[in-house]
Amino acid sequence: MPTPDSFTRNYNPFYHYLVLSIVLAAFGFKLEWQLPLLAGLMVVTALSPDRKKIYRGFLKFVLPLILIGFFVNGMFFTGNVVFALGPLKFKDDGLLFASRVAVRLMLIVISIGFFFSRVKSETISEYLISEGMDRRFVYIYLLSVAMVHLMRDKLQKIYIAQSARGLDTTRNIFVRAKYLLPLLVPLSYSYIAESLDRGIALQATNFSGKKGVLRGQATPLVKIEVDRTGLITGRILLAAVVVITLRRLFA
Amino acid sequence: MAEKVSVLEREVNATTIPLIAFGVALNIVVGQAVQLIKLPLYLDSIGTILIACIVGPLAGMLTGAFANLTLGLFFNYAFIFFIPVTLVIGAFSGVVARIGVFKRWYSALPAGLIQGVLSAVASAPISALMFGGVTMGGTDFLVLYFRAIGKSIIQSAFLQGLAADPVDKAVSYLIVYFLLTRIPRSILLRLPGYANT
Repeated sequence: MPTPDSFTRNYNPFYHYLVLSIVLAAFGFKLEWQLPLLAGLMVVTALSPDRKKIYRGFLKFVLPLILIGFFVNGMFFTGNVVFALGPLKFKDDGLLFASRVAVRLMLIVISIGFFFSRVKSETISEYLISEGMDRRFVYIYLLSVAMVHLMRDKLQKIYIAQSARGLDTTRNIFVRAKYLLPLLVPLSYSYIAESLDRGIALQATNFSGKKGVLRGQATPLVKIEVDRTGLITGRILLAAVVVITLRRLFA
Repeated sequence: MAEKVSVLEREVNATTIPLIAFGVALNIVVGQAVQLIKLPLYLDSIGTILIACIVGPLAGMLTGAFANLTLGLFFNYAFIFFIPVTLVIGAFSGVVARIGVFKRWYSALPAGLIQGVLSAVASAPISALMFGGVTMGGTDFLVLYFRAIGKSIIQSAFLQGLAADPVDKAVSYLIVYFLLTRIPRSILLRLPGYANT
């Protein structure tokens, strides 16, 4: 049956091969090779229209991690002192180790951020299903993302209701730990019951059906058009990175 | 003749998929609950432990992996690297649930402590090699302390985990035990892992 154009999405597999290659290079390449790779990645992402989205998480979580890493490892490794800030002495071995960790983290985090800025999670889900991935896993992911938002709202409502009944968050740690139950019990009870009902609805659609007349290819809601050039280029890139990494490992 | 059903089919089917998704969301939302009542604990594995108990070890492992994947994609990429730790938590809690540790609080507590040690063992190499021993958690000062007294990075990361994880996991196990005792039997009866509760 022909699929209407509005339900067709283009997907370029080059992006996920690029991320895989960079993640592999982050572990397999020498620091001297990783630095130009990181510089190139930073230039590409800085020119991307989604640069704010890519770098927001990086600046919030990864940059402080890297800075603390330099501080901790620079001070407590053995080696020659490179510089000193009063009583704090930073050694070369520690700074080199922290640099390796920092470059590896930056490569991985920025490449993943770039990937998710270019590709919608629904598109990658549909692509993975079309490539043979078990749709149960995709459904778990999509359902859990939807549930998080609903559960947060419900938790907030339960918290307000329990506060009105005397839940006090200013008392000692043991009393506060006890207060977790009045929040989690109603939340879990309602969502376990709801999940069981949802399970019955899924069974009614023969979601995990294996045999019988209902078995067959599920009707996709979205048709994925795969970019063949991107697929071939991506595979060549990944193969090259694998070869370089293996050569380095066995050299 | 009865058809053989694989572990994957038994634990990940139409009935359990919404429960696993609930477990993933619970792992994420409990973090918010902990912040609301200002507790100095993570308690980010309660959903994993609960699902491992009421469904099975594989479902628990999947819950933990998806929770960290979701947290990694939406909040902090660092969570993705700790997926192996969640697999250990899911597998262990699913296995001990089958021998009945969640039936009594005094069996849940030591199981939680053992789980904490296992988590520390699993997370130490990741924390040390991926992040240089620093994870931006509240216990980073412990890594600093252990480094200052001459321990290696892996040793420091392990000792830091050992100082924080057993308490965290023991409290998580107790919370799961109390959750299971407070959920009505009529609901528990419908769960695949009813015998574990």
